[in-house]
Amino acid sequence: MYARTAGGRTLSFGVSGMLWRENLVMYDRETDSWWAQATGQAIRGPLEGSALRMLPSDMMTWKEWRARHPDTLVLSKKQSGRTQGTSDVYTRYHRSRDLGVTGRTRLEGRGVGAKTRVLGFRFDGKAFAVVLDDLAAEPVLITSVPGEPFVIVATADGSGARAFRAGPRAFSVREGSDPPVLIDEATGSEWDAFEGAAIAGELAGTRLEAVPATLSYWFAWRAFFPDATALTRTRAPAGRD
Amino acid sequence: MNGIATPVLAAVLLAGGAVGAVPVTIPLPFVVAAGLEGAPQRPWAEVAVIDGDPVMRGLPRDAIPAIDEPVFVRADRATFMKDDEYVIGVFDGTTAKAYSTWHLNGHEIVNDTLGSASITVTW
Repeated sequence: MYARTAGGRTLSFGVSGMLWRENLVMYDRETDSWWAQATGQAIRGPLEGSALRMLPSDMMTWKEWRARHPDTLVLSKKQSGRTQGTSDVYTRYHRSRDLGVTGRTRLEGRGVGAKTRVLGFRFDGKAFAVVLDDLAAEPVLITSVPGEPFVIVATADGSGARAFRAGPRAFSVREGSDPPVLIDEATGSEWDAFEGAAIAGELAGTRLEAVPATLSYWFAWRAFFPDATALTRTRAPAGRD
Repeated sequence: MNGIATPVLAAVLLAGGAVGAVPVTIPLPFVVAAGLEGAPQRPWAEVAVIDGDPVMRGLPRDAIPAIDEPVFVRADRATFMKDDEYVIGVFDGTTAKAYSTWHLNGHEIVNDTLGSASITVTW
């Protein structure tokens, strides 16, 4: 999910039919620049070097989303266009046993299984990934990345998760809270963990900064971000052997 | 876990879906869908090299049509949606929009707006 503006103009994107680093290459119809979907960066063309601003978005089940947003709009399926028969190559790619079409993708042991589902996000030039299964029993993970702690929170059904910057505050999870409630040590304010929002106490109304994040397989995240650090409950940060 | 040196071995490890070794429980976007079960075919052609990595073409431009004028329905009228269906959701504090990943499989991109912002949903 990106804001589709760059260089002071609004862009519209199309599917180029190409892949780079196992990732969709988009093109913009205004300048014909090529853009990497995973990073939002223009990799060729007049806008090369520009980057789209990534927006926080969610991926979760319809049930979870609708429960949070009863008035949500949803893309009509009647507007299907010409989807039948046009995506054979992509379908094969989706279903392929191969890791990617270039044959360059490598898996390396990092203590996290290749097909482990992760919530991937980038911050300050670094890439991180949180193992979703780590959130199954305890939906909140407060990471200890030096200098930049994050609060990671899963949906009740585990289908999705969000990442927030903890900022200067020290948080703990209120024991037994469901949905999870955070308490910040300094003021004792209560925070709705999944919304990243203080709901009671001195800080009520304050929100944590959401970090745009993507659900992915660990191997795929690593394909684009080889230096990604896996954040796990048992050993954080980890990732580099 | 030991390192896996070749894509072939990696592919074996990742074989799932139809053979049931690793059930696929969530839909995955373009970037992460590689590695699923199916007949390998490689009609891809290298068309450029950027930063040392090849750009591979598999389809003509726009063979997968992006959605430019998306049509939405309200949740209470979206009888076509299933509870366990995955969506990408976005909320600007006023308006919430959801995009079924099942639907996005056929389009990959939606050029849309949210409030006064122009956004693009990519999958």
